[in-house]
Amino acid sequence: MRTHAFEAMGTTVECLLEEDASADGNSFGEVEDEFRRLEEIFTRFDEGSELSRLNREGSLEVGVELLDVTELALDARERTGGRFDPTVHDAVVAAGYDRTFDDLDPDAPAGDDRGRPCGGRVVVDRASSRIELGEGVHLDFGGIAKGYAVERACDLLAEQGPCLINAGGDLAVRGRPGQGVWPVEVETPAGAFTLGLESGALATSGSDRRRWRRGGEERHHLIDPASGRPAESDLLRVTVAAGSAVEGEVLAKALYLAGAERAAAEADDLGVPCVLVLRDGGVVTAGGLS
Amino acid sequence: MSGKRAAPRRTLVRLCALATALAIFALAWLTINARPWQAEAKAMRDPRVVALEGRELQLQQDARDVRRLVTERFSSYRDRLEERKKAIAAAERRHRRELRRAKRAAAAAAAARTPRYVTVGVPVVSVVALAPVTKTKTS
Repeated sequence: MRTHAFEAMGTTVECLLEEDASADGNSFGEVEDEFRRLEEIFTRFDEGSELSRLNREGSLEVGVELLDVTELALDARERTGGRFDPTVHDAVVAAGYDRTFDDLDPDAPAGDDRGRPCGGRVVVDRASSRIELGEGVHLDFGGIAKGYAVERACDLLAEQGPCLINAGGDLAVRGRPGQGVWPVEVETPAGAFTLGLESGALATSGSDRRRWRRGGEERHHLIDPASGRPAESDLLRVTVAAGSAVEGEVLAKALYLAGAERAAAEADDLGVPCVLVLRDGGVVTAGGLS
Repeated sequence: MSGKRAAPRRTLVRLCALATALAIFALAWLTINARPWQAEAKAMRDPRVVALEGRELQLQQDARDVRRLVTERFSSYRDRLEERKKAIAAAERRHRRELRRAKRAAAAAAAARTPRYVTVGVPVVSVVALAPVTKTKTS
């Protein structure tokens, strides 16, 4: 198994390629380039990115990637009843996440503590390649762009053979390795166990990472679009298996906001294999995973 | 006695002189009025002048013909110009329509090429007892 790792999108990206694949040495370089290209489009921390220009101007003719991800995010907003929402930008910033996580003051003084309810108007016009935002609406693709980049990069690397790409926990696979499945470790308070992924993707969302303090209060990056504030849930972390990393990211966030009981019921109804880690240390598997 | 006869004679002489003067004046008038020198001049006109006059008349006629021809041709040119302008405007409208259609087609083609990662299949996953090659954690 050939491996390669690099930093992009605020996390470590890990690439695995089946060892006997006839890969040329440049395959990982192409993956890196693709991640960096997409990061330049979707980052909200660079004023020159296409997303920042859209947020600043409110209406912009954009490239196909931004069109595609915006449509995916709006589709996800509709399918999750608003639990996933790309218009959380102002709420995330108000919660204190206004710069890259590495540059964030871990214990900043309290700021404007009002919530920023989401759900603003976003119009995508494919014919003119234009996106229009409603008054005061700004987009943040922190909850979907990594999954999108993982899928794009997987498509590139898959030309060389069976592969897995893992961007800080959001991962997807293409093809099967020699042992039949891609073994992926899932940590729980009761100990780690391994999921064997034959196809599709895994994604994990939770409030156990990307945490900081503001005015002495704990904050995290998972915003409840209904209140516009960091979500309160009896779940600590949700790991979901899905058809794609994008779908996995969306489902993990939606199930986290649902809370343990409802998340388990929904996962069973939808047939979404998932691992729910509760704040009290309990672990629940649902959606046919056992 | 002789003095009495001389007075009527002087009067007669004066009358005769006046009549003679009137006759001479009338004759001179009639002569001048007949302009005998003109007939002579007519009979003596220079043929080059006559030719030039004919040439002048011909040139005036030619100028009228040329003006009429120019007017007709300019009118025809103006009509053709209007038609050409209409054809160019129609072609530009057609070009803009085709450009918009091509842009839409290109956007659609690009969208078709871009994978949509929402419902691309059901994942196949199970708990296994293998050494992990990587791990998933909160991203």
